[in-house]
Amino acid sequence: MKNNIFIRVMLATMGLFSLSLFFLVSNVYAYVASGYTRPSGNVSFYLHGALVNVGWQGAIDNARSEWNGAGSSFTFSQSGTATRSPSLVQSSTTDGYNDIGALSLDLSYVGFTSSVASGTSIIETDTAYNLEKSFDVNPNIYQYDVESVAVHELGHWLHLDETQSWRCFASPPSMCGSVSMGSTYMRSIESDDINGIQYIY
Amino acid sequence: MKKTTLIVAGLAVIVSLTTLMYGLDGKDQGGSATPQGDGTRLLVNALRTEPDFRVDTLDSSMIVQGEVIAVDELSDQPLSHNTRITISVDQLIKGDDVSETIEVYALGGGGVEVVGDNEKIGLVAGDVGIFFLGWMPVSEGFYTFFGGSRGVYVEKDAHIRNWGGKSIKTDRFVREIEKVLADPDDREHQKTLGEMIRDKESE
Ligand SMILES: [Zn+2]
Repeated sequence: MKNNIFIRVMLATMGLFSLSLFFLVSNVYAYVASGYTRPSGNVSFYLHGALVNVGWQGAIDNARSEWNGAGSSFTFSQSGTATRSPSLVQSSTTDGYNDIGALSLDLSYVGFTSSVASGTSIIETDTAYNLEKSFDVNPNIYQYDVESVAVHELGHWLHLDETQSWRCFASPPSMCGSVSMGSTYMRSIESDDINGIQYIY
Repeated sequence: MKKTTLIVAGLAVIVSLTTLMYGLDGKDQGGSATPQGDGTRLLVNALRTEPDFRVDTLDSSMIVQGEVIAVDELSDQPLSHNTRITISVDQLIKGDDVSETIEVYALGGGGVEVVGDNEKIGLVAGDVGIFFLGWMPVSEGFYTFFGGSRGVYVEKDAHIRNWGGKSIKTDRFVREIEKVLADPDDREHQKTLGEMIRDKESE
């Protein structure tokens, strides 16, 4: 009997501890800053015309605004549209332009971002969406969300890496490493992403 | 249960969780690329599909059982897939390529830093296992490990370890793959981005 009460008290304590641990965990930094940065504190990109034609401009604008509103000094802007291929992704070559475009990749890729750095400064970044996958600005369960992918990839432009995976369960940050079809949670950056961009800029 | 046992167990849980918490605090942690030297360097981040055994089995172009016979670092390969792994094929589980060896190109190597643990393949000559391969349709096209490291199942003592960390008997794993392949792919086809763009252009 005495033991019984003791066990209950012990279980209750452990329950409370787990609960507080959960709240604590959601405030512990999990983002990964690679050590690379854009010293100018801003970057301007071109969006491929074919992606504008399929109605993606608004989703890309939203992704850009999401990071611009994170309370850091960093700003994303768009220079215009272009018809170049994202050269850094395709052939590891710089062309002096930061491009968001599309390429044919194998079916395990959703997106691909390559940056070139001189010392610790990023001098060019390109992102490619996979032409072989299905995307939509309002995805069904068989499509990837255009805006979510853009928010995640722009995080790499900053240069944040994938968030440590233990943080990617409840209210996961946009910098978590894989994305599922129909999911839109990456559209809105979480406290961990905000801590990340504010740490770098 | 003894009172002391419970106290010890409770304390152990608290201590280990607290240690974990302190270990987790880390803006500087993780498999990030560390800058070295002063030349330019290329950093790549791959955003992959959610890992799913059935989907990975259906979407990979080829699945082979075999042995790694060479690992070479090249440079300037398409899509920064600079690590070439040559595999001698013992058994073809999926696909119709019948050559005895196959060259697979993995992301990174040759001066390219890949960010993220999911991409670290770590194969060496002599490794045997089961390999899920994806077809990368650029220039002439090439094979790569499907999903990065999750397409690589190295075998030890007749067991392979999957990306979930679970160990499973190799022949059972092969049977599970065959079971998926025998099942019809009932996923609804959606237009790919490439198809959407082509449709718009022909409007
Ligand atoms: Zn990523």
